[in-house]
Amino acid sequence: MLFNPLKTNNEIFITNYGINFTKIVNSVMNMGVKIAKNRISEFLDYLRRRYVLYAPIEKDGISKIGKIESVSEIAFLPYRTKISVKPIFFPPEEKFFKFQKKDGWFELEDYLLQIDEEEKAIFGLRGCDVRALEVLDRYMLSEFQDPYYRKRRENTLIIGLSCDYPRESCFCTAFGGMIPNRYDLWFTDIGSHYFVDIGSEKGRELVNSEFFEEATKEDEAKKIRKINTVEMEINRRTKIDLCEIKKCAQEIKKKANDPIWEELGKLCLSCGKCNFVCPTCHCFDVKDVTNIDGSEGERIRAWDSCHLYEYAKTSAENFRKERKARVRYRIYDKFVFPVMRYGVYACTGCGRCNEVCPAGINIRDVLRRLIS
Amino acid sequence: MKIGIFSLSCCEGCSVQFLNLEEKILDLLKHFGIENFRLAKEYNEMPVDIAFVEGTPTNREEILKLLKIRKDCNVLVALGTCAVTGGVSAMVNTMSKKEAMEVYGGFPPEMPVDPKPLDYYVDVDYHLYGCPFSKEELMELITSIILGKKYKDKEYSVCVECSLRENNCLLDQGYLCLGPITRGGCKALCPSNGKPCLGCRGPYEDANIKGHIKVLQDIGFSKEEIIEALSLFSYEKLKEVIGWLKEE
Repeated sequence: MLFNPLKTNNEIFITNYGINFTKIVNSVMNMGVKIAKNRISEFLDYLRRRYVLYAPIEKDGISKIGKIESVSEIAFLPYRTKISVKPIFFPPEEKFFKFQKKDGWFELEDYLLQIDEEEKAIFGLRGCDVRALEVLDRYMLSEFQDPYYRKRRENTLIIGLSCDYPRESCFCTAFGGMIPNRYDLWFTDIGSHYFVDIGSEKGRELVNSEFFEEATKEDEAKKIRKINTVEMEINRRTKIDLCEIKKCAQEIKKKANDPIWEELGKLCLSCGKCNFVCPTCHCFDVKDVTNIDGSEGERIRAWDSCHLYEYAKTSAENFRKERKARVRYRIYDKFVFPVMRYGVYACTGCGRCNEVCPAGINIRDVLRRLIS
Repeated sequence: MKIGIFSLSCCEGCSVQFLNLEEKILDLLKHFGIENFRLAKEYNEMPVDIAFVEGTPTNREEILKLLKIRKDCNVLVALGTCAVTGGVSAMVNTMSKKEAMEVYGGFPPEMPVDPKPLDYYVDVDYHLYGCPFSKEELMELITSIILGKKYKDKEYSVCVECSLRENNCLLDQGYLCLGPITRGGCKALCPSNGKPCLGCRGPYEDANIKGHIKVLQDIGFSKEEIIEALSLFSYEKLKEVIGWLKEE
């Protein structure tokens, strides 16, 4: 069944991946709670003791989501991290198994068993990242199940945080705004407190702890005002109207021979950076790395990029030899193919690709030109 | 199998890199006999199965030596940047003969030839890029030869490996980095340590060199600076583009 991410109908969202992006109870019914800012570190410490806590950290000017040993490491950023949450569930290089020759046979040692079965709690995720996880779940856990991804992804608690102001390249309002449809808890800064939306049963259990207090109508109004202000700011910077998902995909599909691809092909340097920072890109290459006589080695999965020359190289031919074809493929793989397959965009408007592109290709401008 | 390591005009850094393999060289010796290695052996023999040739011929004698090596080996591997692109030696091609002679204070006893990549003279089976070449790639190549696998050149840029290491982009910080056009495989050694890529591995086939020149110009580098950077390691490979840039 196709669904529209912009029209929230929670029932349709509940897919049977078995993953506890826990069922939304009824977000309208929640009165919501709030937590005082000076108690937040206590709450996070409480979380850290119950779960393996992940949160934004900043080091050498690079912000990412990382494992937290002590609460003081957490960076409270006003906007999304530079590197997405993807590497936590789908690392750049993953060892599948080790093989070793013994008496003419190969003995395998599966690294899947070594992945910790930990209960994760991720604090400080933004809407773009949470939406990206939904998309990744579709690719990795629906038709074909990826056990390595699954093991990491299971038992993950999502505690989101609304942005205080957007980064230059953000455009999440085109995909439904800052608050996604599925989460466990969602924090929004309303001055002296964080307003907390409850999105699941697990979230409700957490909220029952001592740190939270009942929110008033006024707090909720403040939260709505806050969200609206930031979203208006994003819209002011970049307004892209992608609302009619199927129509939009059709529109973009028609532009297969548009001169824009030729132009972009000349600009693009095929460095693959946009793929690596994208929270929904999931292509990979599998290779065997052995010792000199092949008697032992490892099978490794490494990220791949559709911008690279070798990506579409087969034994017979390379069917995306030209750079413009590769540039087009990436845009199509975000806005056309996933719509045809799953009924969603595989872009969440985080704008990371705009930020890193050395050639200055801006996906917002590309989209605007394609749709108009 | 017998292997030989041969030097033409170069700094012999790649030969030293062979010795830098350290304990892996013992693994190597289980499968190969090193029959010819001027830097490490007193008695050298021919023919060999695999010839690793570093450097680039700069006179007639060396060209003949290269042709003889090609005749006496099954597999010829161009070792390091000088052998692959002409390397630093080929920078001399950017200036006139007369200018170059002045460096040595007069004419050399034998007339030198323009440094060119080995491909220009003989068929080369494999290339190992870098200044010096990467040890991992050498082991990869040797493993492929032993196991009968196909060895593939890396058809992607240093940028790929650099961004996988989550480095801050040096282009953004205003450095003249040649990462986007340089062949990957070095695990982005220089950019990871805060130094921009000089392009020692040479451009890869699919590189969008004109696109990168535009990016560099947008950052604010002059034509001369870009030409200097491009001709440091790969003048012979990028001759056309450099000519185009000069005229533009």
